[in-house]
Amino acid sequence: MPSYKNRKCHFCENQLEHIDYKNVSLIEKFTSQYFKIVPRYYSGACLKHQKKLTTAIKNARIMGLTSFIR
Amino acid sequence: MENLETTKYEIMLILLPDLGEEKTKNELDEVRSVISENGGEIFNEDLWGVREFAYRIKKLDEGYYAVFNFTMEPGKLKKLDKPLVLNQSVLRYLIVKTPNSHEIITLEEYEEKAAKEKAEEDKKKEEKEKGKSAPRPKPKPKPKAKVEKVEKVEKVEKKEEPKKEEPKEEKPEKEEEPKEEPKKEEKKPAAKLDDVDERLRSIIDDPDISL
Repeated sequence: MPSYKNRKCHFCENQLEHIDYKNVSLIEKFTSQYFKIVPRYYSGACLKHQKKLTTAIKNARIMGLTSFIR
Repeated sequence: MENLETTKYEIMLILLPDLGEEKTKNELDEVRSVISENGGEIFNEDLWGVREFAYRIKKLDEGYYAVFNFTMEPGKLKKLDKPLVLNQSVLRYLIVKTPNSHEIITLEEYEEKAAKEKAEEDKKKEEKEKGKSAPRPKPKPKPKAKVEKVEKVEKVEKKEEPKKEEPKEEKPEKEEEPKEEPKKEEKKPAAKLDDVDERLRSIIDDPDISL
């Protein structure tokens, strides 16, 4: 975990504009122990990418790739 | 100008797992024909095969996954919905808009990447465990602490003596009328001083004892 002052968004750093809902290993990094979406002050993502992340996670849940609850 | 009118989409289908090879082929052909009838062009296919769900869907634990990438005019997209909803062998479907610069990555590539990342993490963990076990036995400089304690005790002696001499001088000057009270107070600090002296002597004799 980077320090709070100098930390940057994970997607801005790696230039991932489009977050794919099929990329399950990436999506599960941003869900909690109980498969809930991690809020922005823990995930460190910027607002633009956090919104894309939530849609990707919700799409993956609907298609049965990740679960809603544990 | 023609490219601007069409946009790129991606559709994911979940079919029933126990249809058999021929029926799944027929169902996929139906979907392809529906897309092509509405002026769409499929430029990529990715058939995942039967895969386990993360949770139960309609009392099923598995499903046949298929992904198509196609281009279509945005106005005609809604015409895909009716045949897909009416088709009973389609469990669920999802249509997503993809950007023009989007690189198509198949499921196998994602899984390879995930496996690589896992291997790297495991390596790092092993290294950390090795690093932790080595430097731990270093902190054993306890004999130094004992020497410091003795020095502190000596300093405390010097500080305590001047503090208790001051109140003796001040109190009789300020309050002369109530003579009884200060006398009692004078007696008490004297007794305290004797106690402190005894303690200090015992500490000097055996410096290991801590107050």
